Amino acid sequence: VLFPVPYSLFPDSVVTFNSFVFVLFLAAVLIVHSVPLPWTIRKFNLLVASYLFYAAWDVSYVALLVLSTILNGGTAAVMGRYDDRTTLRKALLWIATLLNLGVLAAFKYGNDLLGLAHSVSHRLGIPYSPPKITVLLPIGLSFFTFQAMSYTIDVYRRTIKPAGSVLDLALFISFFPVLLAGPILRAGQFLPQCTSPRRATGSEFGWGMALFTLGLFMKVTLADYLLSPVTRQVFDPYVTPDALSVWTGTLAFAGQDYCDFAGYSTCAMGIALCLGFVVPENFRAPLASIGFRDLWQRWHITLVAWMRDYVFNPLGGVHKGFLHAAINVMIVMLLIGLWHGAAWTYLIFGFLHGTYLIGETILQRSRLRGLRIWTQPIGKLLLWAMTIVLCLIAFVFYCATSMEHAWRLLSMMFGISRSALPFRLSDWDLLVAVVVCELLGVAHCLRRNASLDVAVTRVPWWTVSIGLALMLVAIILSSADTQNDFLYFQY
Amino acid sequence: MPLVIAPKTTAPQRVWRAPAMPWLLTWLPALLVVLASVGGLEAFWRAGGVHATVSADNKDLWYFWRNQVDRPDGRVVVLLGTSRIKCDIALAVLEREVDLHAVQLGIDGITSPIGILRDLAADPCFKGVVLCEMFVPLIDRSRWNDCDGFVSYRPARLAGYLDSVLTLRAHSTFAFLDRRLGPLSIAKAWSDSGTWQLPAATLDRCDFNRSLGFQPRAIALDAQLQKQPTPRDRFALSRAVPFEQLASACDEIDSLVCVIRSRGGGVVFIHLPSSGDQLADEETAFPRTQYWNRFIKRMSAPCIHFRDVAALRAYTPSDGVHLSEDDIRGFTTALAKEVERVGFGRCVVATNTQRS
Repeated sequence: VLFPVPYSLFPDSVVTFNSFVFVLFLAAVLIVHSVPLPWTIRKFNLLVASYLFYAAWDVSYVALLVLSTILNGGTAAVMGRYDDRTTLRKALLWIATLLNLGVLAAFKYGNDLLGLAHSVSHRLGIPYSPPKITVLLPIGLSFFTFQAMSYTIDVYRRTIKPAGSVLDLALFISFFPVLLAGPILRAGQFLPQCTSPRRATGSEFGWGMALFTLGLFMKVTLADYLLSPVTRQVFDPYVTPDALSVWTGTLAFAGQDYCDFAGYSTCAMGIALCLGFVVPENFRAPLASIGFRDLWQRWHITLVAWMRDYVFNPLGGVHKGFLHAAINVMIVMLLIGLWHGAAWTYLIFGFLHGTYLIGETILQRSRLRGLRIWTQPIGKLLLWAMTIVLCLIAFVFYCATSMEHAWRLLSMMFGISRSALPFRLSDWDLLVAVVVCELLGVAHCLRRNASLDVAVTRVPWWTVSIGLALMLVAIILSSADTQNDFLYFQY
Repeated sequence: MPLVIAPKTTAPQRVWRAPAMPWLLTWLPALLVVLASVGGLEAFWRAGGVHATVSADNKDLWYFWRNQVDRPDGRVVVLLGTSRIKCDIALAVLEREVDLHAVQLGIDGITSPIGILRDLAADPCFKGVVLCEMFVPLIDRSRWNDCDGFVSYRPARLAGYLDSVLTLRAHSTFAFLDRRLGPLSIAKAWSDSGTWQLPAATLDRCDFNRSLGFQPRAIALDAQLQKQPTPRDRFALSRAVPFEQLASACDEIDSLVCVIRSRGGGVVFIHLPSSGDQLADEETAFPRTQYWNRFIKRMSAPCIHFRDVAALRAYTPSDGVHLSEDDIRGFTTALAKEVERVGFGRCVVATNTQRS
């Protein structure tokens, strides 16, 4: 490992959606939000609630939210005021971007960059021992920084006008349902919602609560209760599992990662809807993806869209030829890899996905595309299976603790090396992992082309009622056993 | 086919709409089913003899109760010791008998309570009464730091602490929240052995007030454990040292007692009941004349040995060290009377109960 994975800096106690305190907090916020007060006061209440939510983790880091609001709000306001001063606007954009990324890099990669500097200076024979940064990585830092940056860039591009109210902008940057792990909002979506009073209708409240329940079920029951025990055993760095266990464990991790992250996003959508706000969906049946272009249109949609609009397209996108586009795709995927942390394993994860995307496009441009088999169910099934298998290979790098660990797992996966006494998951664990992932896959395939709200309208109300009851009972029973923080808070 | 990621057709601006559905009609039956399910489950487990329980020595819970001892009026009695004091004394009965707020700060295992006594002595706000379980190995200075992990514990974050306390409160109220009774645990045990029976461990319990309770089946299991070659308590007996080596520790303990008493508080040392092999081993390793009697002579606080009080002697732990739930009410009443008789260990009256 060139850079250590920054888990040691991850806080161990966050107010998460799957906690009693959050449920009480949410109830209080919903009650206050429903009081017939002027809209400005209700927005102010939401802002205070958002700051309190973040302060529950670490009160001093609320300053980061305030500073981000001041920096990006101030920059955008000056840009709006000097609309005809192109050079000034560009300079301001650069300064704001560098400051935003500087804060992100300092907190997220500070120790890794200092470690790299130490390593380079050591090789050059220069005696330099950098101090170790001991501050915690602010949770959700990249999410709200990306939101704030998108606002400034959009104002620069004149896609949106500067926010008319500091309160609206502050709420946009710190809106608590999405603050810790997205979905990454855009000012163009959110700020217009702040202009008129928002209060959920009965249907929106009912649907919002249903989404919150679904998200909790994904997180508490599927990710933490059923899949996490399996992945913990397989990805223990001191264990060498056999091939079947690695494949199953990686599949379980894919399911856990999805349920954890999509669970948070679904909760966020539900909570926002209960408050009368609409936030974008972040996942759309990714386990039913056929090919990698399809996958990245379904997985962490708001991050990929952010990367497309603020990295890929400014680099030239697809307009300068295939080779240039391939390089751009690879840059974006490497950045997505590094977004997870400064480790070679994440970099390889991004590199593999970049390679998959480029390889897929090459295949699609070749004569193979014309074969009839791809339009038939068996061909689609084959492509789906290939997508899953290649994804799992990339996931090995994602969840391995080091490159050595990843290679060891891969060599066991493909039977390249053998262990005298390999670890084998119990039959029960194998069964749980396969059944849960299989059911998830089937559910995704069934609603592959429909979003959740559309899929729900296709079933009778009593089916939804039974589903909600079963999920609630499962949440109650499984929440007794474990409570883990969401994996993506650390990003 | 252009090489793109996330083409604009999947723009995140897609608006979620609430599906047209009678949501009130959807939610009401769902909530009723949930209430009926968990209620039925709770009734089922309770009928099977399961009690709601929390993990015995949760640090957040200990911290919660530690914060309850500082009362300006000093109307609090604090219990220190091992699993014996957590098991043998019914807090509700004690509160009723002595008319003081009772707080259980005992910690399972052979953990010396002296570290906690030192903490209370160093706390200028503490003016209450301490009932401190005493058993010769617990005097040993090398054990005084056993409870440091609890004494120095401070929750990292308020929200996490509140959540932990709320969770513990829920776990102490509902038996179905016991993790040993989770669907996965049951299914796993069933798949391993082809059958499933209630784990014996679910028959003991730890309440929110940190009291332990053993039902007869759990006591029987514990009795078996005590008879094994390396029983939990007896490992301590193997480290018996001459009393002379404990003398300075005794003096230091007494200085802690004096500090608490100087603030109007009180301390009473109690040797809780043992029986059978356990009692015989204790007597062999620490002959009373050489240890307990010399210990109480060095203490300014009253010391109660269960064998000196007829009402306490009547209770026999069936596993050698813990009283069963049937006995603890009577035992607590008898002990409370004895504690009252010695004036709660406050300065006014201080009479050791050693009569032999």
